[in-house]
Amino acid sequence: MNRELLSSALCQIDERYIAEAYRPVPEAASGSSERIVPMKKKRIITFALAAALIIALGVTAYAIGVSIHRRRQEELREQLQIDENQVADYVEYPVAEEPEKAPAEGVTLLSAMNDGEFQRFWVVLNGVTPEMIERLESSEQVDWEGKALPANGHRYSFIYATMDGENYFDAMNPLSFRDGYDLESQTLTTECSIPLHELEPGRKIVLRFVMADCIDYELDHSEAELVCELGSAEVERTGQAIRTVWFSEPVSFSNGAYGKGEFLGAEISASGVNWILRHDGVSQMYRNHEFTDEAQRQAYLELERSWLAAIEDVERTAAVNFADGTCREVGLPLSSSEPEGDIVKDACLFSGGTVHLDQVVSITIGGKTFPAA
Amino acid sequence: MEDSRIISLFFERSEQAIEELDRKHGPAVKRTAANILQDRLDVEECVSDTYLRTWNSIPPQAPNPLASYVCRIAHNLAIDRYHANRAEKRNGKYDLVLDEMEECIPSGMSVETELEAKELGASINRFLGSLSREDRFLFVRRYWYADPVRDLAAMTHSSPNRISVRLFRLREKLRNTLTKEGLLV
Repeated sequence: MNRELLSSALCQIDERYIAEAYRPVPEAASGSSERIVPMKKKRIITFALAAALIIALGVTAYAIGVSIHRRRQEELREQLQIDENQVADYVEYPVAEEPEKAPAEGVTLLSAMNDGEFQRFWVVLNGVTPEMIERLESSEQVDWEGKALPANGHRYSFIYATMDGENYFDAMNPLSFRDGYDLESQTLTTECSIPLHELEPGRKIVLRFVMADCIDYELDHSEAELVCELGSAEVERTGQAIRTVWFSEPVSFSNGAYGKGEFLGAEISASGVNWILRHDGVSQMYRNHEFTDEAQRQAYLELERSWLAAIEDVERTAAVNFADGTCREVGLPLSSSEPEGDIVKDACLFSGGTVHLDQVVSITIGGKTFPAA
Repeated sequence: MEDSRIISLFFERSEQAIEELDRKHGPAVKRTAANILQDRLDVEECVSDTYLRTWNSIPPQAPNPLASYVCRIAHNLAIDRYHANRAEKRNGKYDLVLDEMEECIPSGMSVETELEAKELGASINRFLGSLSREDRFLFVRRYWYADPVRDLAAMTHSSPNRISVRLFRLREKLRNTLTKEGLLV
């Protein structure tokens, strides 16, 4: 195969598809965060978060004279379809209305939503300089396999949120540096999701946002080094409207030689569905992993890939059905919580933003439809 | 600034058009080039050339949407430069993209002429038309924009591993499509 002609063929991808993919569409921005990987020492829990991509942030003309924080709140409400779907559990925090009253540094909490598995927070980081953005962007110069080194040496710069200095949560991703950054106000808007089990109901915690470097963003984050503190915000778990559906009969699936599994039910919220399932690979996938050699690691990854693919095959068929006869596809499964026994929850967000929870009458998966009583 | 206003500035031959284009779409143009080219200087030159070519083509053209129009110019210029540079060194990121596609379209298919490449391109477009929007997004971002898998994971709230699985399946699906269409033996 002539590589030049192969790339020539790829160059002919239709203009409309190029334009369509220019910005992530809501359907593509589905799912939540990835499985938590327990670390031996200090751990960074790697989430793939791209709130600033879901929210196609842009400074709107009507908002002249309004603070960047207020503008971002408006954009979030619109992008997440909060008003349209009467999302009762979306919480918006008070922010400065006028630009001159907006804080120049620290963290401004914009809004929050509890999706049943994760507490999602949207924040503005104030006082983020273009130099910091440049440094963060330089981490893009790596491929996911870590074959190339970042431009700033041997480390990757990211922004994390932490409650205790031990557990870290990605609050950023390279692409959102651009989409979420406002040069004029030197603010960066992003999302941070915290697993619900980390947030005891009714207890406020201080979430610190830091910029840190780490060597490897795959599994070993144990050598992360603090670059600077960006500020903190006091947060707590917000209320949640959820409808739990237990299936009258399990939806079974097979993963060949690896074993079998079954979907037992679903937790439906305005923003997504958490599938409740069990399968034969749970104990192997969710134990602490300390690989002694590359072969072990590869075997684990193969096992994980195989189960993820088998589960995805079923979840790909899912939709929630509304009282008016319409339905909404559930986005592909992109997150799993740690198991309780052999039960695990696989979380995903709806394609195209939130839904009107009260209007959901049933849920379909694997060719079977179950009433959402 | 609205794209239509930027286009108007081009039509007025105002140099502000370039400034506004750079302000609004510069990051995407730079990213498109940087995904294909390794060298920072190459990227900068590619971005400058993109603006020059845009300046020369508007008017008479009035592209809508403007963003993908300039990204395509940057992409094509970067690809040209990539092939020119490749004799000297491999570019880790874009080589990986082509490696993946080569696995999908192995030696069973002989693409030796521009005409055959066009035929393959048309087939890829038909394949894209058959995909869900989400899968199409992933395919185009990976194999046209050349985004790293990790970035795709971030864009879609997914994990790199999941994205790899999905891309692998998409490549298999493409391979089946090409076989059905008689392009693969």
